[in-house]
Amino acid sequence: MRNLAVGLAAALGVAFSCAGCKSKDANEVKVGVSLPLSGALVSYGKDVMAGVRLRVDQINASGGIKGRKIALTVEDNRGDPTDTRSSIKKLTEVDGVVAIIGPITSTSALAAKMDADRAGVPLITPTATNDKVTENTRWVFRVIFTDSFQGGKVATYVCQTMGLKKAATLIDNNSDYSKGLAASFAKEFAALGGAVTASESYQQKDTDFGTQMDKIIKSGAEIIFVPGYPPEVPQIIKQAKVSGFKGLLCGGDGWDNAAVIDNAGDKIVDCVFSAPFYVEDNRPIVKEFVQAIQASSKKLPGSFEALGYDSVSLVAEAVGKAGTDRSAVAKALHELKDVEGVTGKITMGPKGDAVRPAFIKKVVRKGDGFAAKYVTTMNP
Amino acid sequence: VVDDFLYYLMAGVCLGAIYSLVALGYTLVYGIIKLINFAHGEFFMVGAYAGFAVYSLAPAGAISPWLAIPMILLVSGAAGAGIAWVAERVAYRPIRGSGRLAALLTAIGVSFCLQNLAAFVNHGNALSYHGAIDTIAQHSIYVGTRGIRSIQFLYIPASLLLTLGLWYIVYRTRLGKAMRATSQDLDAARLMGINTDAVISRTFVLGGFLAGVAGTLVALQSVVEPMMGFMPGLNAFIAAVVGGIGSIPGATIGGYALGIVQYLVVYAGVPTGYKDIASFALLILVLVIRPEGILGTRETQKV
Repeated sequence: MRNLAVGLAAALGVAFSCAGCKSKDANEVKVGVSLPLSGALVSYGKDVMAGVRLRVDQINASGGIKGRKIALTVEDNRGDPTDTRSSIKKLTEVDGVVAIIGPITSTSALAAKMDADRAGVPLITPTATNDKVTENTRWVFRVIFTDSFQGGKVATYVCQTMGLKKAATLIDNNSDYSKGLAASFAKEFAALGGAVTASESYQQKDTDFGTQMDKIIKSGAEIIFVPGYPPEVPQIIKQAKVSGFKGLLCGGDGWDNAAVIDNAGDKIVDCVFSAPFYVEDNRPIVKEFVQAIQASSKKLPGSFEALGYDSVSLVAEAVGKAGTDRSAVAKALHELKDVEGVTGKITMGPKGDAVRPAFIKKVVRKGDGFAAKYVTTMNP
Repeated sequence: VVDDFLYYLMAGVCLGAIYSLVALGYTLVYGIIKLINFAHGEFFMVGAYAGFAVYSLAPAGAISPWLAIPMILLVSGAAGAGIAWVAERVAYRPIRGSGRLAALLTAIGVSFCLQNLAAFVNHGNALSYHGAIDTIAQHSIYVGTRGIRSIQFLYIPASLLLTLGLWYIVYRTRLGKAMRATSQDLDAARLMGINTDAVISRTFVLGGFLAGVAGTLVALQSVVEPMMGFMPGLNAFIAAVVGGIGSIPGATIGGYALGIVQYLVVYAGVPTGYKDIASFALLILVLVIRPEGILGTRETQKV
């Protein structure tokens, strides 16, 4: 019975995949997308998706890549490493995509890396920052900066520009992103002469951060570095206010999202974090992008929309040069130079990491709510 | 140092208050039909969603937040009770008599089903209270130099009040007498003219009410999201086992004991992020030393 079911499912799969490849325009460039479109990280996934859609629509409206239109196949990976792996398998084996954009988190990207390697498909992660994501593979690329870079830059800004010498870290135990970023922040902060007075941890889905905050306050920290995701990060910021923490909090790129900024209460004012994009950028490409996102999403774009948008630009550029052979596309991605994107001019470094500056942003009051404002640029 | 100890003890008691409310539901249902209702954590989550729905549908500032919070708690309890009633009616009653394994698997199915249904709401994005209610719940009350979230001061009285109410129902009313009779011997109770189906249904409703209220108590300090019932549900199940599953005072004691142990471990120096390990260690310890739990009765196997 079970064998029959498996056989039937396989037969259906084959039938559908062939039906797919024949009925559609053979001239289309198939690009896969694997994002959290439900679950705790849906806010990230939706924002990246908005950027991806916008860029694909623009390219298709202006004639496609050398006359070939981009066709997206979108999979919801729920922000879960296991679901991400199955989505990569499905996109490569059933849909036969040229390249995949996604996933969001480092933990998912590290899991997806194995499948991208095995299948031989270029995987372009817009946002996964853990250093190991692009190590020892020719198939994985990242559009954002790495944790060792951004952690160091936040530490430099906090220690040298703000003049704070005592910091604590509060780490999400389940996240490769949180652990990697906290480590690079602590390393650079200590190297600059600061002291890390406490290092506390939490689990995803925790609802009370009182004891962690208590230990941090007692350690005398002036600033708390919280590399994490919603829904925990905004709760931690609220907790800092409740517990009576007098200093500020800071974080990484994960903070550049409404899910964090809108839900953290007023303690978020003056908090700083690093991001790969800022809306005040004066270049025409950014102005056009900001207007288009505002029209479709009714809000100002953050880094997630911008990285989704640039991911498509990179894929389109590589496919334009190399055609739709996956191996040739990977080679072309490695050789990309000065591609004009909304997050800056993008050049691929040797490992498949985009070389780029980080921007420090600060949260300010805006009307009844809060918004992130550009402060300064930290160059590599 | 004493000050420190008291603070961690207090944090443990607050958490324990929540665990005990949820654990009571496990123990009630287990006591009466020997079912470990793994969907119980989801009744907690559904309660929190219902409370939030009322909050977001009501026009802002229509009623005073001091009145709104108790109302939201009541609605959550009612929703928890409602979903428990539906689950019992739709999923558990039809398979009653098909063995405990079938019931257990059905419970896991109900749990997944409710989690995924909740994920449809706002795509599973975490929802948080804003405005006046949030300001009150997140207001800090200073004990010495320490700020403690005001909503946490509600945990213990709410938990004690509900537990006392439950004791009254179980030990002082006709329904309670019927529940106890059904729990001792379902067939004999039915022969005595007790409508056991109705009694079981009401048992679920009582457990669901407590879980629903606990759901919003937690949501007021954190967020509402589809998986929010999972860890509290698991911990409360452990609390029920530790206290002696099937025993009502046992669930209360087990709940508080578990909360306190979790924070004493943190006080002893284990990073807070690993405090859940304490509950599993305690579970193993109790199962090895006293498998029937603190207040449980040893079941003699008849040959």
